[in-house]
Amino acid sequence: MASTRNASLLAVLLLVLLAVLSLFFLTTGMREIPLSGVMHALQAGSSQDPSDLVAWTLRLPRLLAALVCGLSFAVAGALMQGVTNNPLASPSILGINAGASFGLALAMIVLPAASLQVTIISAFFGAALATAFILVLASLKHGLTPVYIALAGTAVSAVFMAVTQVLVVFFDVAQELSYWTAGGIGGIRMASILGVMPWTILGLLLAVSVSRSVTLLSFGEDMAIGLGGKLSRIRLRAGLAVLILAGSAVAVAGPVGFVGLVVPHITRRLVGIDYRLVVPFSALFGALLVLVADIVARTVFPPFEIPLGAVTALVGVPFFLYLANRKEVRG
Amino acid sequence: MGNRRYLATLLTLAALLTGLFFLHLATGFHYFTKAHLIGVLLGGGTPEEVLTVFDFRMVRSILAVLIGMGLAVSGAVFQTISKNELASPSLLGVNAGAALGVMLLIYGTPQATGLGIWEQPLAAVIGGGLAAGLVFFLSHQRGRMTSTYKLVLNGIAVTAGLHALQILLIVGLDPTRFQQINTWLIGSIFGNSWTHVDILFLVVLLITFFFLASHETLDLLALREENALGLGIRVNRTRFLFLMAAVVLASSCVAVGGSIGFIGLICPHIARRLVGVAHKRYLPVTALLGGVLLVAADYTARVIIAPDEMLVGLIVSLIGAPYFLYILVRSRG
Repeated sequence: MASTRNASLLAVLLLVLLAVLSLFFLTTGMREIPLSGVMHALQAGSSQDPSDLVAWTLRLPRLLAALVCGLSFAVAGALMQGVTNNPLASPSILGINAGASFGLALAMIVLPAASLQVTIISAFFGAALATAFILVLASLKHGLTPVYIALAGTAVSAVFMAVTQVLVVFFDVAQELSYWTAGGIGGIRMASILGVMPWTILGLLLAVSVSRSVTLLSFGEDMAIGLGGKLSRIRLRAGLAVLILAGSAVAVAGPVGFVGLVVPHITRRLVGIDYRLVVPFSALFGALLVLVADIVARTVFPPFEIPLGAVTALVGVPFFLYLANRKEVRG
Repeated sequence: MGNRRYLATLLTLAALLTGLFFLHLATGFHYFTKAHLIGVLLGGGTPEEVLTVFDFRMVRSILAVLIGMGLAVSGAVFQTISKNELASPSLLGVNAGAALGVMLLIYGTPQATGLGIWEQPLAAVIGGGLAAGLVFFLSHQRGRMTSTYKLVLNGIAVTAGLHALQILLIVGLDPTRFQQINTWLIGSIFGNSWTHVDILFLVVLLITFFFLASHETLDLLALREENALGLGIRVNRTRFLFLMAAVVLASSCVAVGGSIGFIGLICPHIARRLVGVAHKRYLPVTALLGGVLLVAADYTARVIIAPDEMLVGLIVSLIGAPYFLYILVRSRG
């Protein structure tokens, strides 16, 4: 993007769009609530009025969950693509989401009475485990291509999903887990989303603080060293941000895929390759994308809901196929 | 490798398959002792026992063998034709396409009219064929060999998209049909009849013999393209023919047994290490391995959380996913 003025214009535009769609989100659903009713609910808090109750205890947590999940996956994806210099990198494709789900399942089996925070931290550990797997796999081979890494990620993802599913059936926690991992944010409660949000903010701050260095890394390792970056420290901080963001987002919404893949590409197309801009704009676009996806999920087959993950996959798969088969991406 | 070692491998696998088959047959809610089971098989036993052994268990045991064999042989042919040791029906979208085909059929049929026995496999074959066609089309690059990794990655992506479409369809289903579809999707060999056995037996037998009869052609197709051309094969036409036969084989298995992944990936790989790449030997060993693996997996699925059952597709992917990773790490792009 040519100038900071254009960037701020785009930011204002996106924020307005987000605000309008958020209000629309609060009004639509099984029970239509007029805009005035939404405003009333936001001011009054949780009262006995049915419209207030629906808006405050069902819709608002869900809205927050959509925003949190969108911005987290998108920023995590942007960091991963920047650090690894791999256009196909993203939390779902490299198996981090599946690892986080595995962590959640493990927490439910080992510590059935665990608090929300313990469960979230266990999701971080699962995500870290998957990342470690990928790093080991990447170190086993020379001359790695983006396509190989993506394939290795899907294989790691398949391993974690298989183990998770078998554990879940074996220990009979399918009901508890499907609440987390069905790839939807329908049943989320205010307490849960408020418990996750501090992590989201922490992850976002970490991402912003490392964004300048990520720009250096995205030029390639040699360039980054030449420009005075400390590679291992940048990687560690970016990796930590990815784990926190992706892990907490999976705890909110389940392994919703493709947001972290699609959004950074669109963002870079619009604001350029400076990650000081890419990170915050990815957050905005990500929140917007998941918000729209969840509106679609709720309104296509009323009264039924399509899982959020299916909607994002329908957008993400064609995009992924396009990216993976471009000429520049070598096999 | 010598003939004797090949024969020994073949006999060992056949013995293993027979042993597992009887173990599978004996196991269930009611366990039969060896002597008792043989008695029932030879025409003894109460009517209830005969019903249990022949109509419930044997259908399931035979289907497990047939589906395992079919998926494994199909995988072997996929790998030969694409010259890609990571290719297999499930990774190239055939399972997901077949599943979507069957779902669309169930979705479009009014509940009162039952499905004809041939309709389900036919829908599966069309769906599986279209999905595989799409994956190969996307991966085809003019004038260049299709990259090993790209082919599989495209297959996985197409599979993800097809799954999303399946979910979309499921949301619109009523609960009974949902149950029907859901059990079938994850992969269960339970609840089929002798008619299923007859049809699948015919399909698996015919196509496997077709491949075996053309083992020399398959050997040539595994060579570099120029060599095969030089030896007088119309490469593209032959390839397409074999590919379609492999898709029909895998899709029929999916139509009966639900989506079971990884068998078509693992078994050809192990078979190659056991007996080498000549299809005359490679295909029979692959088929036997497929039968052994699926019967063993289905047996495990039955006993691991008895009296409940684990879905067999889960057991297979528990072994299959790590093995996929192992092949990937060892492979060359």
